[in-house]
Amino acid sequence: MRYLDGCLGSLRQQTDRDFDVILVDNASGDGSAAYVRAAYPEVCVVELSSNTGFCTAVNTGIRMAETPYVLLLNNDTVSGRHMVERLRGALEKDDGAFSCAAKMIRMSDPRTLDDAGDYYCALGWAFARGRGASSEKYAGTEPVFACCAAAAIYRRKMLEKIGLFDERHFAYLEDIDLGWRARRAGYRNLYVPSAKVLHAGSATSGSAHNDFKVSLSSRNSVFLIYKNMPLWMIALNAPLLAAGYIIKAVYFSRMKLGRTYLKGILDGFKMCAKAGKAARPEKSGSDGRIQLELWVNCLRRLTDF
Amino acid sequence: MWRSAFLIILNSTDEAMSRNFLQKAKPYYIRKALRYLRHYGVKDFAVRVRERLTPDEVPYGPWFERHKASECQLQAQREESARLAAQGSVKFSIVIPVFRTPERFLRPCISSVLGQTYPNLELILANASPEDKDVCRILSEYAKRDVRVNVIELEKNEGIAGNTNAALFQAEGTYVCFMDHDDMIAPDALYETVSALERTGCRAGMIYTDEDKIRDDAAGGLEHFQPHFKPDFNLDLLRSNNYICHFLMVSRDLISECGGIDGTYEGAQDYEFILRLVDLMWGKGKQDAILHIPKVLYHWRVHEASTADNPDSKAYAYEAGRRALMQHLERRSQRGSVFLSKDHGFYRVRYEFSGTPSVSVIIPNCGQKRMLERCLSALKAHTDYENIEIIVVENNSSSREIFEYYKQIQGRDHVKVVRWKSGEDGFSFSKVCNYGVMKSSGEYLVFLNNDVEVRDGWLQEFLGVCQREETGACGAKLYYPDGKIQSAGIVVGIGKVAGSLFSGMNGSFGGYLNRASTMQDLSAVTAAFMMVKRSAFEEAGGFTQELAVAFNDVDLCLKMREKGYLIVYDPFVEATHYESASRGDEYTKEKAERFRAEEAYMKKRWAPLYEAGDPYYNPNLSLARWDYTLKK
Repeated sequence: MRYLDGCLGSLRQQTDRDFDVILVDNASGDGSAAYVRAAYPEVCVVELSSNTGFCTAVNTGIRMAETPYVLLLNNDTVSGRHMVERLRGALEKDDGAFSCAAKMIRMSDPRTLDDAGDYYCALGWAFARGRGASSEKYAGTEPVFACCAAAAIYRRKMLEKIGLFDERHFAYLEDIDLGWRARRAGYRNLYVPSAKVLHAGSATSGSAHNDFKVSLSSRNSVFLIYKNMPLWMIALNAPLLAAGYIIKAVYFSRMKLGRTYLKGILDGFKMCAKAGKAARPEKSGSDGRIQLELWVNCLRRLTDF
Repeated sequence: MWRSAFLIILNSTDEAMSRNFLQKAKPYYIRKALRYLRHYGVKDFAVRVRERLTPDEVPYGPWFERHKASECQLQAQREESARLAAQGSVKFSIVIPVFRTPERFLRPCISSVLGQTYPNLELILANASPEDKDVCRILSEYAKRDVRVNVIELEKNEGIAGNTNAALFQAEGTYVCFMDHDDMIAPDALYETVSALERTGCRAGMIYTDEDKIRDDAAGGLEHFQPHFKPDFNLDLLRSNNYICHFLMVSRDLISECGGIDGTYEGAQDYEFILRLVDLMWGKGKQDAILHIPKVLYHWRVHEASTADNPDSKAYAYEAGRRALMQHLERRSQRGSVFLSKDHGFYRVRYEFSGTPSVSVIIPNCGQKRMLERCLSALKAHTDYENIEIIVVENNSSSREIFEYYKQIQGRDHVKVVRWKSGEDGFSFSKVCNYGVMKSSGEYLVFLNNDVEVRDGWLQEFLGVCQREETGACGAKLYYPDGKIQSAGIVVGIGKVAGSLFSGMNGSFGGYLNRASTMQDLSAVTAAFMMVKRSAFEEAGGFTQELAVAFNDVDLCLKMREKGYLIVYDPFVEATHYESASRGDEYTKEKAERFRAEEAYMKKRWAPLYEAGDPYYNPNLSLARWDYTLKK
């Protein structure tokens, strides 16, 4: 609620005003919806009756939209005034692009980056590139593994082709999954740093690490592999994946979240079993290239480039 | 002391001044006076009151009205700007962190930006007070009215640094201009900047202008007061005080390189930011790229809650400034320590010298035994240093008495007497000094007139400054025997050729913005008492022989400046100069002619400098006086 003025106010001042705003209120129960209806009459407010998770909420919004491009924006953001113009511009310029991510800068300290494109590596970890670095870095437009859904534009046509966000995720890693699926379909995801967004981050689910986040993330990380890696890739990555999971397990157990983490992984396996064969990936010509990237991304994770 | 302060007040016949005084008899000002009294103590307070009450020769208020851009000029600028804007020229991003700003300050602030005659700008307002409905309403009103306005609603107040950084993220102009939420800029501020950039053809990394203070006057208008006329970039002044302050404009590229404002220096974040930018440019050898526009283009509003008016409550800010300075010295690998000065917002950097470099003191002497005796005994009493030689350069003495004295002192207490014989071309102070240097071996040279009495600590202080790589020479603060100031550095152009600052001022006064008591770089200092780095002296070719009597010190300093060295005025080296005594010479036609010839030499040799004006002074100031009085 407290971020809404920053978020919607910054949309009112966009240089490119050719867009509608759909606000999906995920049963926040704090009067947000009523407030927005009163203060921002141009915004179309959709209220969900219960918190069905991030994925369902954004999918609802996407389905309502009828435009060729859909831009997702978290409520805890303040957009730079060229944000829409430049994300749209980048997507229009590149026919093969599925999505474009904005440069996300920390609201609490705008000298610091929050996200300069999302990556996934062979250790089984997803990470935000540039997090904590100077916000002046990462100034070039370039392809990234996936776009962070907190501020990214998507091409509707391609979305329909590869499917929307996977609602089984509830929240976390759904954007990596979507980006990965797009990559397997042969599309590109771009990072467009001239589109800037201030991001409060972790504002909507509390602190950086909590039970909720750890359990969902670990569960989804297993499911993510199941859905996107063909068998040969799983086999090839098995040693690194195992290492990655062990490291994380140690890390979380030090934070007294080890039990939650392991349970999450177990849930992940259950989820895969439940989803069955239907969730397994089809063959894709991009897998070889993606595999190489996963290795490169391990270095990226460790060296920050 | 008290009585004299009050007498000045009571005797004042200056109508404007007494009105001013009555206006100041409000409880707010009395509280302020008491606060200062507590801070300074009775004696210092009285001195400051006396100094503050000395009326200005040229009052600033009317001066400003005469010098600000007229409506007609502004109109011409608007037309010119339209042409410039069409060429796709410089764009400015003005960033203002807003926090609970009263409407009566916020509106004039924003209007002063939107009313610029140069229109290519974006105004970014980061509002950190979302709970203040008035502020929100006013901001969104402007945002609706003018597309150049961008309001960023912050969720909470992150402090000036954080809020400014939030505005910075949005800034895409060629230059980012920093402004406070209750201040104003002159309507031609950006136009003047663009035309200065065009005129100098310089790709400035940083730009700053002169500024003044404003407050509401009784008639509902604005009173302009306390102008701050600044020198061009002045490293040592910046190390003494954040003189750059407002109106600060920094190239977007440079900000990208250095990052934004650091919130850990609360209260001095602008000072820290400027020091960091300066170091960044220095590291890249772009020292010239700091542009000063000598026009009052920024108006700092003083009201009862602002820091411009109540510096006493900001102890943490001065401490942060001190930390910023220490960081700055560290980045430059400069050894030294930083102290807070008694005057708020001023610092003293004390440079440590390393090793025991050899120092040669050169004292030209002609006759005057008693004077030389006094000079040498002061030197002996106030110098605590072994690796020193004192070279007395005898020239043209005739009395037996002085030669007897030379015999006494020769070889004792580090003294060496050498004899310069004038050739056919006659006497020349320059030749005498150059001869003294030739006979000396010190890495550091001290030129000392025989009518100067040094005081404690001079050598260590001088050495600390002179050992710095960038220093060529360092000059002292000299007093007449009656305690008045004889020289607080030299400004080129004052009194035609060059003149000493604050000459004749009460020695306990600080002068304009405390400049007499503040270390700073200047164009020249007097050779009556200065230390010069030998290598810089030699690089500059020593004293110019053509200048037999006058201006040879100014010329030497300028030559060193030409080679890239700084000339530092150091008020922490103090000495008494019995100047009038050595001026006993009677006036002759021959001497007057020689003086005119030397004057002509200076005007010719340094013609571009005379044309442009002393970069360490300010073109708005009178050259008929030496105390920062306004030009009429």
